[in-house]
Amino acid sequence: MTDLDSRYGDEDVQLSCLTDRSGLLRNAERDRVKAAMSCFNKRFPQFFLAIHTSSLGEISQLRQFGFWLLNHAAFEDVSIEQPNEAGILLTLDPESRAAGVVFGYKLDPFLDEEDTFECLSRAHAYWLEGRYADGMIKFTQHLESVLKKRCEHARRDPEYFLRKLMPAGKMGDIVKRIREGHQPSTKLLEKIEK
Amino acid sequence: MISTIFKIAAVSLFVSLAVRADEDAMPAWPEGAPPDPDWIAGSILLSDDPLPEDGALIAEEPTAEELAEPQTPPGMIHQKYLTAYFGERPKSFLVDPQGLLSEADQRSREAFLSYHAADSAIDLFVYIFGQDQQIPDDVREEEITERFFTEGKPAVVVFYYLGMPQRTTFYISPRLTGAVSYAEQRRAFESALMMAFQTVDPAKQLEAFMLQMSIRVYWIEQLLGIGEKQISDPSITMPVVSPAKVAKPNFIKTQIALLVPYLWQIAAAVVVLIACSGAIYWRRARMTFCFPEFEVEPRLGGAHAAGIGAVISFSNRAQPPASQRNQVPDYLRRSLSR
Repeated sequence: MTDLDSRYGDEDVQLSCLTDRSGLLRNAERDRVKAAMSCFNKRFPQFFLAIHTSSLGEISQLRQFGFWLLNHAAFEDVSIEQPNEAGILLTLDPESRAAGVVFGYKLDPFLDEEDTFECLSRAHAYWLEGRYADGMIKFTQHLESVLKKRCEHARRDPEYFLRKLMPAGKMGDIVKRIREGHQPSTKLLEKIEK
Repeated sequence: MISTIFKIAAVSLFVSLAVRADEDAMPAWPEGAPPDPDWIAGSILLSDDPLPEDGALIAEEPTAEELAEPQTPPGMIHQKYLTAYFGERPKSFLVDPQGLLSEADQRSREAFLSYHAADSAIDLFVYIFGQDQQIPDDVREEEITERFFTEGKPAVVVFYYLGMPQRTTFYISPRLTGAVSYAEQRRAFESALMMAFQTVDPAKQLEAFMLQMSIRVYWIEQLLGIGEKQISDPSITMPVVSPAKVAKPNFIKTQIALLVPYLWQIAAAVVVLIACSGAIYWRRARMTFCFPEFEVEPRLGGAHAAGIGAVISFSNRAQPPASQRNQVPDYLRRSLSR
């Protein structure tokens, strides 16, 4: 992060959730994308979606830029109650013709690289044809469906996601705790006594 | 005291039985003993010996009329009813010269058929036969129908066997045969038959059969799309429809006609279904998804985020998303970042 701060600056950047620095979207398209984002935000009130387009040059820079931006952005149209930990940022670079996704810590247990790749894949065909708005909407819709599934899973088995967050060393502790907490049945105790 | 009462009752019972025994004495042979100890009552009937004079059975000799009258084979309709059945166009809609139906049933069925005739453009004639009876070989039902029902109001003629509905046959006036497909005729007949089989009482079977037949005749009338005036006017020819041509539309119309009595129920069911679907859709559209919150340790020096997702390039058409999978540099992977 220190390296990135030295490259892009260490001050916070004020911007809106949909920032089209590259001018890829027309007004009507902006409205459609905004509607899709608004729908997403309503469906998942704990999270928010942001889209940023700008020319960066290289794909590797896009990945780093997304990471830096989500940590330094101050989104005007997001309530203060929602920190950037709850954000999902789609960065699109028309110069290098690449798009990337970064998400906050709150989404860490529920999203992984594979999920984001699937979302981007859905939009790939549209972006290839220069239909950026359609691609963004498609991306949003697929992200919704992925998160819906994760939500259902989390409702059924929240510990699955908790285990994902735990470092490998701590997994042994869980097993140990389970074994310690286990009480042998009274019948078994009687047998042992006999 | 009680034992005394019992003793008195027993004595009085014994005395009364003794008195009755004297009154109803056992029968005795005239000479005091049976004629022969080996004699068995009725054995003379089983032997070839001639019957004694006193007990001879005198059978009445057949009269001249009976001798002149030919014997009717079992199951055949008696000669004397044939004219009433097949001699002329029936005067009433119910033809039962043998009186197989009870008077009340006959009146009731006759009234129903008259009501049907008043209401419908196609009459319904029902000939009643016994369940085992056979129509003589020289009488052909088709010929009867052609002879008596070609002119005047068209009719459906049913030859019904009381208690044996499955033997029933039916014919329609020659004027209708070209207009009503054979399949439609069969459907009407089978439907009536099914209704008849819902009960075992022969009279009720006939009632159910006639009721359903009347309904189906009405449907046929509706399908033909002809009014009473049109159909009864012999100058107007009935539309002749080939079976192949009529098969599909008739089937659809029949299905629709079948649904007509349940229209309200179907409409209500559809409305309920739409309302339920709408409610489910509305609920799903406004559904919010909440996740459990976990504490995540910051990494890579990021205060808010370090979840590096995928990056995809859309610069080259020859480079599909599948070929770009797993391209995140190792240094950004979560496992290595810790």
